[in-house]
Amino acid sequence: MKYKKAFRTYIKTSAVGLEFGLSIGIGAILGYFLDKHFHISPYGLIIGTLFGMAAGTKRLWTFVKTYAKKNGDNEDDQDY
Amino acid sequence: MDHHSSWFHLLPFYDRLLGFFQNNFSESVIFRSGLFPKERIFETVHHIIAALLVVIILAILSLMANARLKQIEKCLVPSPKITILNIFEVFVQVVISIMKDTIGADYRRYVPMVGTLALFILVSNLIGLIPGFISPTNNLNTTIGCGLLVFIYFNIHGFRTHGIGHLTHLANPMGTWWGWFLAPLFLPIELIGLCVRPLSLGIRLAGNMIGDHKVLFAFAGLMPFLLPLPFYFLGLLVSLIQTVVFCLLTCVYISLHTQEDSH
Repeated sequence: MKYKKAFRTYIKTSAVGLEFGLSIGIGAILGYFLDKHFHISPYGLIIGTLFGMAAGTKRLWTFVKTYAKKNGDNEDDQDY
Repeated sequence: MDHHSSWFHLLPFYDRLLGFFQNNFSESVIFRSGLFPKERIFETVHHIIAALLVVIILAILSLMANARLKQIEKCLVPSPKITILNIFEVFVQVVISIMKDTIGADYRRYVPMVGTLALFILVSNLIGLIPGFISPTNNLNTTIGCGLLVFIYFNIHGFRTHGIGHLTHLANPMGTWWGWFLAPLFLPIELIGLCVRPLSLGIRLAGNMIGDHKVLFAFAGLMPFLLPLPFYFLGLLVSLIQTVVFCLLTCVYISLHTQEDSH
């Protein structure tokens, strides 16, 4: 049971890692298309990347907060 | 059999199918734009045929298991031999245990979707280990397609559980009146966070399977006798683990969007 929970935590942590990187990538791509469409280069790319970084950080923050809460309260496994 | 051919080339209609794609789609805008080289479309055709093969295999196996289940008196005592029904029972037990641990008491509603996806991905991953067959999950189109299916599914259930609150939660995650002033900041952040999920599911699965099969083929090319055996074992492990990962993350996403206290 202990290993099962550890395995699930590894999977969820690795998912957060991938989502963090992809968020920045998606934000940058959206910003790039905004630049192309509205001719506002390079502001779209900069703002898109910043929003992507914020999205990744928020996901990481939520994950860490839930994980810390779970360990602090010694509750059952939760979804992050 | 050379590196670029498979058992599918023995199908009588296969060359005609490739010709159809070559004549009708090789000059479309998406390929002229340089996003995808022309040759890539033929690789995709192999994967589509492989996916169809997986669907046919699963349909036949399911019908056989179902026919066996109808004979109730034979099912009450499990067979001492390994049968299709035993394999399906073990599979369903594993999927249900993952879902029960992650989603909670309301897991039954989601079993058909998650179970079907898990079955398709497992068989797709495993079929790639047979020499001469191509794994459908070796292609981003298949895996991101599965990811998009999960995306649509958890959003539908999000709307079912929270109604319009599923959408307003994106703009105002705090749920307070002053939270609406932060909506221009939060909406793009939450939208990016939401859109990243199907991509992350698809890229992870495709990346792992492509890497696994590349390593296997590289070592099989070096020495086809005995050397690929450990890599076949690793391939088997990766196929199983990636199915569990996809299944578990689907359950996590569903539970994140359907839990009553998540909003």
